Amino acid sequence: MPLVRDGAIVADPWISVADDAPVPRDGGAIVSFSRWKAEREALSGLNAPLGLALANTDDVTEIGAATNRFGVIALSFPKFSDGRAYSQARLLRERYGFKGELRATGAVLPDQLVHMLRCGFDAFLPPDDRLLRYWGRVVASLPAFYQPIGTVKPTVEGLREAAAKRPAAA
Amino acid sequence: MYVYDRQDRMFVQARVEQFRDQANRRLAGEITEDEFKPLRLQNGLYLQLHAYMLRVAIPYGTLNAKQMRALAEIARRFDRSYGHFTTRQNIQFNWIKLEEAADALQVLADADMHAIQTSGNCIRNVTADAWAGVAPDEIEDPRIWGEILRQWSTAHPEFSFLPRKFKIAVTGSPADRAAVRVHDVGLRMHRNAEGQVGFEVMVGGGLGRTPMIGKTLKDWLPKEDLLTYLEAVMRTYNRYGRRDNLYKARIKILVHEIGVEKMRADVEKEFAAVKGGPLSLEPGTIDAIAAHFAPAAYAPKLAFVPEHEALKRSNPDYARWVATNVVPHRQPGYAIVNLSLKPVGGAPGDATAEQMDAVADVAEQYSLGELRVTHTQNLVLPHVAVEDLRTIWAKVTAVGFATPNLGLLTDIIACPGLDFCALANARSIPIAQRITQRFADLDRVHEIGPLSLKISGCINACGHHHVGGIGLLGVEKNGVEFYQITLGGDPGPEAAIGQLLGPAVSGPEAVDAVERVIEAYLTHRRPGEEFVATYRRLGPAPFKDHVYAARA
Amino acid sequence: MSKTSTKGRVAAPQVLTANDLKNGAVVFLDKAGGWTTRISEARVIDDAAEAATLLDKANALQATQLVGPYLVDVDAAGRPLHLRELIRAEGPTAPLFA
Repeated sequence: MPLVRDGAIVADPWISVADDAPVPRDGGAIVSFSRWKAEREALSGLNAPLGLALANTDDVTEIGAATNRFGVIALSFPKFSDGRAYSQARLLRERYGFKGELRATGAVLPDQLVHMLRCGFDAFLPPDDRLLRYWGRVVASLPAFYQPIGTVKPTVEGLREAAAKRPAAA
Repeated sequence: MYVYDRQDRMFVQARVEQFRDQANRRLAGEITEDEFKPLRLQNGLYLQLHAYMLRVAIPYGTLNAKQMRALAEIARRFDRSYGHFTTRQNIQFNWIKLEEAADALQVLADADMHAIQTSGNCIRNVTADAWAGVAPDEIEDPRIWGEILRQWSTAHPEFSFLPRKFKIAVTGSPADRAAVRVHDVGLRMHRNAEGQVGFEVMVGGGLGRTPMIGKTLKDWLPKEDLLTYLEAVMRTYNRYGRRDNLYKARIKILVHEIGVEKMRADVEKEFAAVKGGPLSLEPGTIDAIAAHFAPAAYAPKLAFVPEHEALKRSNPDYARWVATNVVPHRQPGYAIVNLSLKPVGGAPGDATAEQMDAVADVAEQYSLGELRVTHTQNLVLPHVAVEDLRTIWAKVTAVGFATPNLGLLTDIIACPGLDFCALANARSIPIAQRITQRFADLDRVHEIGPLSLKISGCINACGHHHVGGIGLLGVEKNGVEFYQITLGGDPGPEAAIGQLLGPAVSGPEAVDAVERVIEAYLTHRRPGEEFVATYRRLGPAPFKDHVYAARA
Repeated sequence: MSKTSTKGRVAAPQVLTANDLKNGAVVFLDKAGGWTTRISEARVIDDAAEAATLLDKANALQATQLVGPYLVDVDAAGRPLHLRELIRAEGPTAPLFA
């Protein structure tokens, strides 16, 4: 299945590069975390955007302030029931201010999409076409959330405050 | 108690439709069972031996009469007219159809209830002291924090696919009636040296295959930091908790393997980064929730009611019920009435739809419309005027909930066991039934005194056998049920895991073994000494000798 | 899940069981190839290869009809050998414990 953003298929300009393959000089390469750590200086010398693929066991705090060196960071869901990448995503977005594309790979299924969006993912490489088919339904499924996390929906607390300011509507 | 506002209602109503869509996609073959299972579990729907089982949350054990009637309606319309109250302040319905599950959830949502996160590898229904808000020894009502935690943990995007389930319990009393030391996180409210109320945070307690008593991660946490601190705990667990082995995935194993000092250091590092963030609790937010749990507007009542005193003198059954099942209330002239769901020969924690409706009526008329569910599988009428106790006694006797055995041997905790549960190895309910029949003589039960007997049908320990004064654990050997006996367990402030007494025994032998344990206790106890104290003083030897002598 | 053998040998005759997806009921493959809630109507399978084939077919029904099919050892009268399966087939023993 091709790359999905905002409920639509989009072109994927990035290429995953194996650890033993040369990194193309004209950019668009996604490299592994271990390779980036090993070849950090050489890769930083590239005059081209770089992408990073993390295993869900990789420690994102090691990237820290370097996050915005990357145009894309790909996080992995080896199984949909393995939720470690949700924590990685929030740390990248909320603590380190990552602005680039945060891509979910692996078992990216419709019923986990909203969690992913709320944790900061904005691009998806799903295993089949169901994510695309059910996108609208699952995104619309819940109107608000209790936690002040992410930006896709208002928070219940925010709605309460808004309602309190509009006593007539409460 | 907490009343849903428009936003809460909007959320649970939308959640019902979300689940309806998911169930329909499963029925249409659009999602596989593997994909559907966590979705239904996070809405409380299991597939058990005979049917689907729906586990409904009763957050921190509080519900109103209308909600109890909604549970009765579910029992009638979607089940076989009964339900089973559990050790986690939930109720389970055993005969649910997937096709009708969303309709049952709709009945709940219409009564401001849900089954959200009563299963799955997420933060489960938060439990609390069943006497919250009415116990005389209470420092602060733990339900305020139960509700704040309920909202924070509901559909949390980061913590919905944890390594394993996660249970939080809160107590606001030093007595700890919520067994906080055997939860993944236990919260105990207490005052620091400056007199401010905050939380002791305990982590890594739990029963199951590897029972452990929780360790103190933080002595005193300010209230405003509760959610940020827990976010740090959860994130540490989500990142580092084991996922390679189902049986080693609970946070207690992580704490055990890395040590509480390292756990504390990791959590503190994460806490330092999130402290003061958007999850910090503003006083206004806390106050708004706390207002829901403000003390009720109690009508002034006399603490001394001559007719009540007279009936206690003239009717020993009434006197016994009052002495056993009725406990002091913090409001003068009122009492806390505990309803025993442990009749002789009954299934512990079971209630029929008729019984649910009947206690809803009683609660409405005599308990400010409020009820509680206890972690010992009983119910509570939390606000009863002393002058109404005689009437209540007659009414709950008629319902069958007046067995005067609260905290005594026949107040048995038992999981559903192999009669219903897909995980069980042995039956629990029939053992409980036989024991209550053997000890049907109330004089004898009262002579034995305070003692908890807890039965689990498998090592997952839903029946809390590890923390029973007497614990029975069902195991299977070559297709035959056997029961291991543990003694000396205690869920309270002096929490202790029971010790294995000796070889497992058969079902009928288990009943005899309980009787022999009691005989040994009665032989050796000092005046006024409770069972667990005697066991701690003497150790297993006299019990073991007496139980197994007959088998030698 | 089943503790019984599924291929290679048949230590005892078997019946094929699952839960019905829609209502969760315990069902058994019957003699006509349909699914029945009564174990007395279940097809008793004596041949390991046949059991494996039938299990494969049942697994294919998991998309829309069944959950978790497996084989259960039974005695000559068609009653399950293990207590768990007996309770599944005949219902809870409580509160009618003998």
